[in-house]
Amino acid sequence: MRGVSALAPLIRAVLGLVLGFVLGAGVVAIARSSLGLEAVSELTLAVGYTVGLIGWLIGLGALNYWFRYWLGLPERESGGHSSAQSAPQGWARYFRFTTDHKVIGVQYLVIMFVFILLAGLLAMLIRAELMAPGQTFLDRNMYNTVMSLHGIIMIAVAVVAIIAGLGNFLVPLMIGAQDMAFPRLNALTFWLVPPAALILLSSVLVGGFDSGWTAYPPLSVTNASGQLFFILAVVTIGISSILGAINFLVTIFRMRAPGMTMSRLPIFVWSILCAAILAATVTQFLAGALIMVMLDRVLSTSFFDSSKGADPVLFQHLFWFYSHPAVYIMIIPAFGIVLEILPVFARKPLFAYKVAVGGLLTIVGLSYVVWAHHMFTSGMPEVLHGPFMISTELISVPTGLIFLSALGTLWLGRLWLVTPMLFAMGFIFTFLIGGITGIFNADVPTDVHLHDTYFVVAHFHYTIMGGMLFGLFAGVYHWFPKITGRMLNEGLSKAHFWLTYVGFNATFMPMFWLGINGMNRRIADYPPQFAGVNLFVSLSAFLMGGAMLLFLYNLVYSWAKGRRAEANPWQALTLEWQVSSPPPVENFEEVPRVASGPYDYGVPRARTTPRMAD
Amino acid sequence: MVNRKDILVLVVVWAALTALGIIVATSLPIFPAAASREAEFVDRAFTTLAVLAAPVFSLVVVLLVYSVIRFRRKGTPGEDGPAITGNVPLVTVWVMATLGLALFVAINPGLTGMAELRAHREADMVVEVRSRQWEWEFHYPKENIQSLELRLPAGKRVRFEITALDTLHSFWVPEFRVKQDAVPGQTQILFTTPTGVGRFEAVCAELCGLGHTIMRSPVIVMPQAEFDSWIAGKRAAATGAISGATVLTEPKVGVKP
Repeated sequence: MRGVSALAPLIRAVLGLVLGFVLGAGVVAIARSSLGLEAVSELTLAVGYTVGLIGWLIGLGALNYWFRYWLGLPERESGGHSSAQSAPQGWARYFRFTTDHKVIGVQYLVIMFVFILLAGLLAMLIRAELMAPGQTFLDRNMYNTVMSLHGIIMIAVAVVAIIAGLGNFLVPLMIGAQDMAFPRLNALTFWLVPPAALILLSSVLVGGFDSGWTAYPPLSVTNASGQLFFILAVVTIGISSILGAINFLVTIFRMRAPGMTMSRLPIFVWSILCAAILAATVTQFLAGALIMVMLDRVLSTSFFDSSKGADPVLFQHLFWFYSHPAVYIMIIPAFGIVLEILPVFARKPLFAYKVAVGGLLTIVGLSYVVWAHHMFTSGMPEVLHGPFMISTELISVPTGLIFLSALGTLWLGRLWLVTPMLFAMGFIFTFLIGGITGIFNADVPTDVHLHDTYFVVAHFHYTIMGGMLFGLFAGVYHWFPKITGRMLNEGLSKAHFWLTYVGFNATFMPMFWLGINGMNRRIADYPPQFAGVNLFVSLSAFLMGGAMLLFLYNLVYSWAKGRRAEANPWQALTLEWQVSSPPPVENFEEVPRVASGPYDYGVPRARTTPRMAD
Repeated sequence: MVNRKDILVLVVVWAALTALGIIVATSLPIFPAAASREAEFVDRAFTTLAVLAAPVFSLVVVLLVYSVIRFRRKGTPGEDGPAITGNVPLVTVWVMATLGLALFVAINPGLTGMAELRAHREADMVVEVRSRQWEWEFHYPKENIQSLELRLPAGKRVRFEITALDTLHSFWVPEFRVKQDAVPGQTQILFTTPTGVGRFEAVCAELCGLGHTIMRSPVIVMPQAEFDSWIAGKRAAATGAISGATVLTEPKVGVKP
């Protein structure tokens, strides 16, 4: 009985979703039939989803506070930042509208790892199909949908997981705050994710979508209705992403504890700040472009219809104006994690901290003016090629500063090679390959050959998976004791690292060769001369997939039965390690006063003086 | 503590690895057959970038691996390392070096390669490439013939006029090393001078729907004389056939040589 009542809000939410959908879709269906049109159209579905989304939030109780305030009713919640305290403790709080940033962080991390497993499974299907030439078990429609779903889910995970998962859990702790600036908004951003996931996965029921994660028109205007569901899902996640970014910006600027000056801000918090600036300012462009595609589909507008004089290439400009900065939304927080971890396990201050921060901010600035390097073969005016090539090459300068900071921190350190450190150091190697091969894609004379080939597939997996995902792994290994109060099994962790690392490089290194030699992207089949290499790639990918299961087992087992973690198992100096593991609900018993920087390793004073002076 | 020997070892290993990298980059046969003048430019640009990448890659790897070997501590660390927070001369040199390198690769092979690819805007012949789901139709306006396979005379500069009838496509012959998207409502231009006689394939490089995988067409580069007789044969066949027949109805099997 207790279980059912704990899940009551979730059940109400699902009910709200269904009722909202019926209401929205019903009104449109009636209106359309009275006009003599077909009742069920994409318009019916789109309006149904939108009203359903609102129903979901109402059922969940996400809008209660604002409704009551609006109607002048007394507040039911205890109010203030820690209204979560009135909600049940224990597992039930993870299944309802809870405003504690630590709960939200865990909610995000868990749902993101579910998506990683799901999209990873899709990757295994892709590699199984590509193991041998010829169509083996996925027909072309299934292959394109599987490939497109893998792409968009992994992109969403890469954009969201570190910021919203680790960021939510850690940023208030690291800056000495009780919670985020807007706790209810924070919970709202999370609860937008499940309906988006639901509609995205339902796309397979209405024909899937065969346009990849990039959804270029005209294809995305004329293909199956799965494309509409894709758009609705991505726009929902986009709204969540913008709201989350604003919350982080306000939190980091306004909620820092006394003494936590910007120059004492942990580099991970800086990285979240940088990513939030980007997410808050560019996501609208993707949402806008996709809504234009949706209007072309459901209301017969002609934003991208060339037969009515429009230019389909415009979409690509809008798309990449978001989607290139988006790769920095993905990778900058991973830089932050790596630079946060290296000083702890090298027992040295972060090398050239302010230079590294400058590097992150420079990347943010440059990322607004590089988008068209994805379009050298698109047919845009040739005069744009030179400027975008040069601006793109320049990004290697601030990125070089991140490498300098990382390598300078290792040099002369006392390296403690536990798993978080292995992933952080592994990141340096894989992201180096990702960065260098990026030059080949950015230089026009090589890109005209390499564009849209497996060379690009290899390149972005080296940056996103070898970068963002390895950063996330490093972060999870580093902060798991803090989040759960348990230690992971170190033997299993090391095994996961080595299997993943070998599997990863063996999977993606040969793809560079495939691309150079003429294997194009997004194909379900290939000429026989690529058979041997593809078989090797598939087997390596299965190894990597198997390692994921080991990781999962380690997470679940250690969370339940792992050794209890002390408050500060890594002897780190940032604030989150100065409270218990897991941290108390209110984070700090009293407002901490910060007296020194986050990386004072080797400074005699820092080891004897407590970080929090009061 | 670190001493001069450490630095010396680092520099020697770095130099050796860089040399090895350059040898690999310049001698490893990683490219497919080169069958156009553009292929020379692209392959040279690729090799230049690979040579320039060698010292960068080696430096990071050497520093990373050397740090692990030299500074690793077994068990939990008992003491902290030295409190080094920065090094202004090093940062300055690093920024200058990366900035110099970034600008260098943008100029050479970037801009210089672009100049090579864009030189010679006059062509010996024109081929219209009409893209549709999921095949190409090649139209030779001067010769007034159409074909589902692309035949080109070796050594002649070709101007491709690329259009799309339904959705985006991208015309790419890996052995020519250049590609150009086809956009509905627009005519995109691509210049190539095929040089190598042989059979290749045009591959669609832009996701164009369910049949994207199968959108491949034969490309045959042949000596001028053979090309001329092929043209003559096509024209004779066209006049002999029902007048007004479009390529859309041309049986696919008929074009396979």
